[in-house]
Amino acid sequence: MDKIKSLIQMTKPRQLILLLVTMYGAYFAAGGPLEPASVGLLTITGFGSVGGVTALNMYLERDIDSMMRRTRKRPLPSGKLSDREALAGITIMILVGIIAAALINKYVAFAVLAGLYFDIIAYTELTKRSTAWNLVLGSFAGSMPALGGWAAGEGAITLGGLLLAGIVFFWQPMHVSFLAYYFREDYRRAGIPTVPDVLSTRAFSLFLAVSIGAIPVLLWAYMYIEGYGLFTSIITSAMAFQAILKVLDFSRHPSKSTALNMIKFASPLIAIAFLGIPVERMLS
Amino acid sequence: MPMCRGYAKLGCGGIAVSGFAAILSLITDNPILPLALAIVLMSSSIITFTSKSWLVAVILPLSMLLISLGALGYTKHLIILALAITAFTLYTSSMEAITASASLIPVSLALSGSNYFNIIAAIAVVLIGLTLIASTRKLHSGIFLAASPIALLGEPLTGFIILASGLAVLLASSGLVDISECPFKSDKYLILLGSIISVGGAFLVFIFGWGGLEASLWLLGFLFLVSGTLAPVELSDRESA
Repeated sequence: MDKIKSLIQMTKPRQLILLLVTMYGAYFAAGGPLEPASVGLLTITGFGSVGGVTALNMYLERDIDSMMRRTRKRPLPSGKLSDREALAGITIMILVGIIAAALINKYVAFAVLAGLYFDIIAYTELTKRSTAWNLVLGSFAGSMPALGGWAAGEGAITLGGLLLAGIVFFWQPMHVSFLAYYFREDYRRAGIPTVPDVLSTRAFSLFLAVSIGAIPVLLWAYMYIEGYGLFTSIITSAMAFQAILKVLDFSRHPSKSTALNMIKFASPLIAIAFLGIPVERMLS
Repeated sequence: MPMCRGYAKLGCGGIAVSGFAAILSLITDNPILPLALAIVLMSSSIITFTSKSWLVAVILPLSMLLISLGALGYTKHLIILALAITAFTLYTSSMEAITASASLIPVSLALSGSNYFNIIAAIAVVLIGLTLIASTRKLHSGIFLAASPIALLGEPLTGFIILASGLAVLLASSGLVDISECPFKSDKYLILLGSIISVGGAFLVFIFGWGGLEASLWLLGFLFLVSGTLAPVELSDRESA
């Protein structure tokens, strides 16, 4: 039982829930039916693939985790799970996720495999330890659950799904970069380059402001194309505006407390967008 | 264990393109093109293995046989199966087997009559040549020379232009090969799992055809293989290097 608990811990449950929110949000926004079989299959897909890929990422980064104070107690560096046990569990999770995805349709399978590719190969293995701009590839990976959810609901990858995936893509730099800023000593010790380390505070803030600004732009574009989502767009725009003001404040007075504040602010922003859109779809 | 000798940047580029090309094959009408592209690039990029050249003697005739059979009418399934067997060899094989397998791609495409033959041939020539120059092994030279004339059989003029361009790029890139360093090590568990899954997926493709599930399993194995081959180098290793 402890082993299973450790394996679940490797899926980063809080992050997993947030990504599943984007997946369900996109699924219902695309008109996916609220039937136990469909939603169940999507849940297995999401938990298996997103959780499995996150755990595989943690497996590959176990050497870094043992060096960082924040991650030293994770299951692999702390010895709660052996490498083989972890890999066996991860493989089963990913296999189950892929099979469930392929049973939905090939576009969902595509999103799952693209997520695996961008997260593990493009991000973790090819760029994470060599360039701070691994952020871009990691953000692509994070946007795949939304694309997969849309593909499950719509039966294809269409513009609406790409816009929702784009929202997640532009949201992630805020979350990841402030996390990197907050734990920057740990990242430096492990030799992981991060955006706040390679850019000046002013350039870093500008980069984030532009990135956050793209979120309402994509949401309004979604509303224009799909014909609903006005209230969500208004609320999300207001939150994005507030986030930009906080970022500008950070550029003048950079501090760990502001970074922590932004980390806490990031999750509600994306959650509201992906809860509001499907609700408005159902009401429209 | 002889590790790679300076392929990092080429490897990164190759893997980056190949992985996504393989995944794209899921939703394109012609899965053979991106799949073949993926295998060529992957094979030319993954170079972190020990040398067991006897495997070449087993793998080459087997792959050739399957590809020839494929050309006779079961192109898609058999070529995929041959590619999967090639991938399986990555677990225990040498650079020779990898490069030799990559060399088979233009041959297989020539035999299967793909419309994209020239593009694939160009890429194959360039990448195989890059590996060839970097490795300076005789077997590579032999396979490369054997593959090139077959690639030229399609359209002689285009073929020669492609070959000349490929050689020019190849010479220019050799400088890059020399200055780059290898940042990877391999993870044997991941490679083993990838090999098993990719071969299992390929057999499913062989039996049931190219469906979403079969292709997904094959690609999962492929991605595991690449993941295991490119496992990030441990920090202690990097510091001591």
